[in-house]
Parts: sequence; C-alpha cells; structure tokens
Amino acid sequence: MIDLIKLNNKIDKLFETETSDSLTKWLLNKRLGNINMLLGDGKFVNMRELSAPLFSNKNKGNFNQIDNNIPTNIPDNKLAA
Amino acid sequence: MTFYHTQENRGTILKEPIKCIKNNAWLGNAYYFWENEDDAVFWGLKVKNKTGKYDIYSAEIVIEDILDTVFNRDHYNFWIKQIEKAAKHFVKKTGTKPTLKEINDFFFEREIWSELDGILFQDISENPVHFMVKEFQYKKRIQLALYNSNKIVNFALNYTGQCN
Repeated sequence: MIDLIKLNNKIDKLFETETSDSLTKWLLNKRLGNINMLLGDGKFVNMRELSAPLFSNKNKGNFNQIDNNIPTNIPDNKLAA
Repeated sequence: MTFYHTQENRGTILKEPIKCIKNNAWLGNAYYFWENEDDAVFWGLKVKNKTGKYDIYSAEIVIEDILDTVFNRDHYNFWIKQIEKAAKHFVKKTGTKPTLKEINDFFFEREIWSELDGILFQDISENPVHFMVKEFQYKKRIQLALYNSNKIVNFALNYTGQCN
C-alpha cells in the first residue's frame, strides 16, 4: 500500500533543500549530458542576454572601460591611414 | 493483471521486456506495458515496424504498489499535485519548464519514486481503428511504466504480427 502522505512530505522536504543552483545543475546535466565533468563547476556566461535565465547571464558588459591598447595621441593626419 | 509489451520482431524471443530509456519516455526509464491489447497492436503497426514484423508479449504483473493515476482518485489527485509542485519549483528556481520525463527522472534519482513499483497512466489514443463510435475518442489509452521488474510474474510471446 502506497503511503501518499509520507510521499507528499518527502517531496515537500526535497524541494525545501533544493536550491536554484542544484536544480539548474541537475537540469543542465539532464539536457546536455554530464557537462560539468567536461567544463568543471561554475557559471555559464553568454555573450548576449536570453529570455531563459537557465542559459543566460544577466550581467551587463562594461563597455566604458579604458582600452590601453589604443593610443590617444594620434595626430589627425594619421587617423585615416 | 495482464499487460502487453510491444517490440520489433528481430528473430529472437525475449525472455524479459526491454527497458525504455528514450528521451521521450514520459514516465522515465521503465518497462512500458499497454493495458489493452488493441493499443499494443497499434503501437506495433505504427512504431515498432522497422523489420516488417512486431511481437506482442503478455505479462502478469502484480500491481500492489503501483501509483494508479487512471482509476484511483486519491492517486490521481496526488499525482497532479506533485507534478505541478515540481514544475512550479523548477520554473521558479531555474526559469525553465521541465518535461514530465524530467520530473519523473528527478523524483526517481532523488529516491522519491523508489517506493513505487510503477505508475499507471493514460492519454487519449490517436488510433481510430478500434473505436466503435464516430468522431469521439471515448477510450482511455492506458500504459504502465514499471520500475520494478520483480513484479512481473509471467512474460511470454503472445504472437508476431505483420506490418503490411
């Protein structure tokens, strides 16, 4: 005889302990294979924002940073060369 | 209770059913059986037809610890509640809707379903051949996903059918 109350409590307890990270990792492994074995643990970083947060990184790129490789003192007559 | 298992005919007689591990197996990795022989035959004709012949096996299965979502109202309500609870947690914590298979796999891997021998489930058949009335699929298509193969008492080839 299946004890439905016991099973229900077990499932409630399970989801109390499952975090966003643990569920995301489980789902990624299920859908993409054991990708963590290949890539190691860590966050997935995409170049563009997607609607599904599972596969996206919401951090915006910092495009205002100074690029030291571009010389700032180029004479005007050299710019088009 | 008698259930039916359909496989392609590959020239050998199976001694036990084949466990389905396909991604579209909606109740997870399990031994799948049909409750009605009509549906087992239709599955042979429609899906298990690559060799031109299909085999229908019958099995006696003890259904004591089966979650019966088809005929048991308490089990059905429990099932709906747990699937929706799981889906809600997945959406909230991952931002993605899980499939029914993923929820079942998750429950199985977290040893929630280890207390179940299997799940009896139904959908509506697309098979018009065996329906006695016009334009209404009144008959349930019932499947058993059996996790515990020890519950199979007898497993034997019933007959081999031709696909053409």
